[in-house]
Amino acid sequence: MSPSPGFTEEARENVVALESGVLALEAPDPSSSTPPAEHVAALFRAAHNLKGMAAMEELDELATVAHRMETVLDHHRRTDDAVDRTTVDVLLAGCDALSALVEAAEAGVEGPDPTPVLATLDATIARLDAVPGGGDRAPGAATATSPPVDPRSDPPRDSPTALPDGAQGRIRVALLDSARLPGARAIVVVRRASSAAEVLGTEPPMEEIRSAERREFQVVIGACDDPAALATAIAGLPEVASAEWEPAAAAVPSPGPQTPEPHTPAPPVPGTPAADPARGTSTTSIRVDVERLDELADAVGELTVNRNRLAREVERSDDRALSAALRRLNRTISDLQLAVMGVRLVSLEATVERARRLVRDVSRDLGKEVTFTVEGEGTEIDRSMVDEMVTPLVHLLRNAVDHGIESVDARHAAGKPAAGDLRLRAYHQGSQVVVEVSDDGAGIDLAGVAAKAVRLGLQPADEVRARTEQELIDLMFTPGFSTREEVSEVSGRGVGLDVVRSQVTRLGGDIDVRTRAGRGTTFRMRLPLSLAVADALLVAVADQIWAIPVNAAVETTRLRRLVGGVGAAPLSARHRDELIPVIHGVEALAGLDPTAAPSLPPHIAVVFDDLGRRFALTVDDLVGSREIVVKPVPALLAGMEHLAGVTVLPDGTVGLIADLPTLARRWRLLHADSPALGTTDDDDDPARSGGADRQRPDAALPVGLRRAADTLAAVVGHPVDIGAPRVRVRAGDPVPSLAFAVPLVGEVAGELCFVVTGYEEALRSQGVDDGWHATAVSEWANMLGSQFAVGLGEALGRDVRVGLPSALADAERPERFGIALRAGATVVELDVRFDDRPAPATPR
Amino acid sequence: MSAPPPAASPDGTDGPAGTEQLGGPDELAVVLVHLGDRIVALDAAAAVGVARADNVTRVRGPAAALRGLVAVHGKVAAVVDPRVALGLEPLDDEVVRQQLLVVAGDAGRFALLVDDLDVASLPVARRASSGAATATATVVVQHGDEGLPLVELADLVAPVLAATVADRAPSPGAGS
Repeated sequence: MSPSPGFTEEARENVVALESGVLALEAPDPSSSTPPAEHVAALFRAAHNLKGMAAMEELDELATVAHRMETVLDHHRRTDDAVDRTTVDVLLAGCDALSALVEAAEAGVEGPDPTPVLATLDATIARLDAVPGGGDRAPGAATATSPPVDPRSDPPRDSPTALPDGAQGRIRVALLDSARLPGARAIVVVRRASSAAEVLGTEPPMEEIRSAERREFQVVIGACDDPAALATAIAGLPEVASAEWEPAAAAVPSPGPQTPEPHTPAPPVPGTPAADPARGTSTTSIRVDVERLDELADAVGELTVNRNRLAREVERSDDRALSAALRRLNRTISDLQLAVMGVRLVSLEATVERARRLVRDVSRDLGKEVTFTVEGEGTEIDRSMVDEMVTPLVHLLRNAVDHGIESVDARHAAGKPAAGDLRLRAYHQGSQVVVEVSDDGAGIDLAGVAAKAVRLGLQPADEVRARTEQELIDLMFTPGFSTREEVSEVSGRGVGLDVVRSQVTRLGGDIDVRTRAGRGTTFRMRLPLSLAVADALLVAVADQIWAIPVNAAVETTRLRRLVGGVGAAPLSARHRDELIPVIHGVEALAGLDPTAAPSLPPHIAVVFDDLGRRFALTVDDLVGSREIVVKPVPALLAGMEHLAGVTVLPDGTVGLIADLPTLARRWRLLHADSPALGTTDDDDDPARSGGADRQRPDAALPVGLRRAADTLAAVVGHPVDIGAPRVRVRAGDPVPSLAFAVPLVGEVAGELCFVVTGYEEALRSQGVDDGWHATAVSEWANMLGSQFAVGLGEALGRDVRVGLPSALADAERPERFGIALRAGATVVELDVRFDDRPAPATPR
Repeated sequence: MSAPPPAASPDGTDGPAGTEQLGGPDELAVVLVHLGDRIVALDAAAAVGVARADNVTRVRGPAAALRGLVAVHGKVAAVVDPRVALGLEPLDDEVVRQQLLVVAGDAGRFALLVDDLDVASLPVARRASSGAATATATVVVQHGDEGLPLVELADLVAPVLAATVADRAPSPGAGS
């Protein structure tokens, strides 16, 4: 059963609020004026809300975990006992379980088994109850959705039950007779009440209200700032006939010693809209589907296209009055565009909360003390960018704690405080958002960087001495580079900053580093505010208009002479004293044969950078530059990897956005085995990085495989030497238990296809589940997959191609082939299983 | 089953008109798509608009059925030639005179290149309770003397998907 619309978002917000609140219990914000007791009460309420929401959605496991957490928090709320570190750990584990269960509920799949978390929560409850004065009631007894009846008090005449402990009173609600779905309306009422108050239950219980379609019921209210106002707000809900507040004194005759304890209204959990009374009592915000915002943006885009058509007509008419009206219209449309883009902006608060948790966990794992400070968490950024920036940010933070901040002993020796200072700072700069991660650690060991570069064969020893500080720092972004000798479970080894840079670049941003020996390091990412809007260079290729994001291009140029392109020598050209690969636009983008209608020099080209290597993409003409609204590639074209997106041009036609990293990757697949770029008569300097790479012992392999070796080494914990993949084809062999399984395939359009997938699962099973490793291994798997396709194709005498997982999900016989990549001690092999096909005559 | 009529595109040409009353209990609102001599029926519920085919951006790819991209109502849609899936001769390069029927369903949102189209409410001749859409049509409407099977959108785009999936393999296209 899928949860109700809006449930997931609201539940996520509650979990995030809980998590950040629990973290704050461990490290209180000195600037906060909220007393600890009120803070705990607010957390209690967030857990309680979550439990209620989950119960209404019949998500029992979620409700149970929230209930146990609520019980733990309730103990501290009632006793004012300080929350110890062990309890914080247990509560954070509870948050993790809640988060996973919420995601599972949204996906409509079974969530992880909460039993272990429930066991630790129960143990904590038992421990707390064992403390003298702590066992003032059975776990959870006072927080059940249906409040217990005090047997010693007579129920009031007008009420079927007495109020439970902690109740301020009740809101009597009557729905209109015409209410069509009274059960659903009751849920809405209780949710509304939960947004501004602690809801202790309903009378009759919610289950009965729903099943019997009761139109009259009561909502029992605990802590609440202004219950009368809440009743008024509920009365204003659709299909509600009346809602009356009845305080406890009126509802229940004073039961003497059983009088409910006075409650101080609990403060909201920071950042929790659902628990924020201010939001609860006045409608200041609404939830809107992102899809609806996209539709709005589409409509504004269409408006702009029509405005441009109108502008052309006005220009022809030479009518001054019309021109003036058009100018006013332009201003309005520009304002509208800005407003629509502004609606998509969200603050970085949720990302920052994840960061806090990460820093806390990593520093504890490493036994380091870290003070984490955040500035600018209210900085707004496009919703689409928020999700994308998490992976690089997570890596930078891990890196800072692991590699940047020294051990406590080293800090003492350096005369620094024991706790390292880690700062995350976000701010706007023009149309970009800048995110900085700074530490006060030892700074980057540039001598170590240089030595490692020489040892890895990235730089000759005599050259590295001439490198500037910035050039040495750039070396750290080389695939596979790390200055740490030992493998760290936190940051891995050999893969990292290059992936961070490639991701930041893919997002249209850049990254730089400043470091001072003994003083610390700052990584600064500059990202566009939105993935939806980009400044683009418009170029013409084979009668099509292509858009190239400006920040992806280094420059435009005219190439006088192209060399190579025959045999193994790739096509290349000299550009600024460097021989760089040339990619024919008409071939790579338009799929045409460049030799059919060869262009004459000079060739117009866009120079771009990918993973430290420059490329030139030839185009027919430069059309101009403009801001474009980036739209996703329609699903039917999803297989066309050279398309990064599409956009609607001012004339209403569709412009295509080139995916330059894909063009570079394809070039590498075709040419990385080539001995060198083509040479010119005056050339004595093959491409720089190519020359450096050739120093490595595995230099004959494509760069992707070398990078894979580094990643794999980090995953399996010892050096891995990836040889050229050996493809062994055997009939009926079972697939052994392997580190990386790649399940496969089917036949599409008469061709054998296989799917390179499964490595994510394999990584997860080994506890390596971050995007950083996954991205590198994904590239590796694709790379191996391509080579494997060639080998298998030769063995079978048929074309074999890399498949698209989603499109092949329904392939008739997905079990037809099996392929597995073994991460053995020294060699990666590809084993192929054929269940129902004869073994080929000449296995490779 | 009643179905909403397709809406005309604001910037398109003739939107189907007079369709409000279409679709009674025993009838189905369908879009009759003219492809040369052939008429094909689509469920009108899948139609979301009509546009001119004079602004199609060509996309050169492996699928003959995929003719390019068009922007309709600010949204970008793939332009598909349904002739390929139906075993007819694909259109030649000249598509300007064609109309685009924008459709949306489980198979996504895309625009079909058609010669002409009508909207009609036709009696349902047969309605299978289940069955693979690719094998036999689940609904057949009565069009004049003949039964006209309702074509599934997924079938029309199948050739595109098959070709683009196969194209994901790295292919020569970069500076060789």
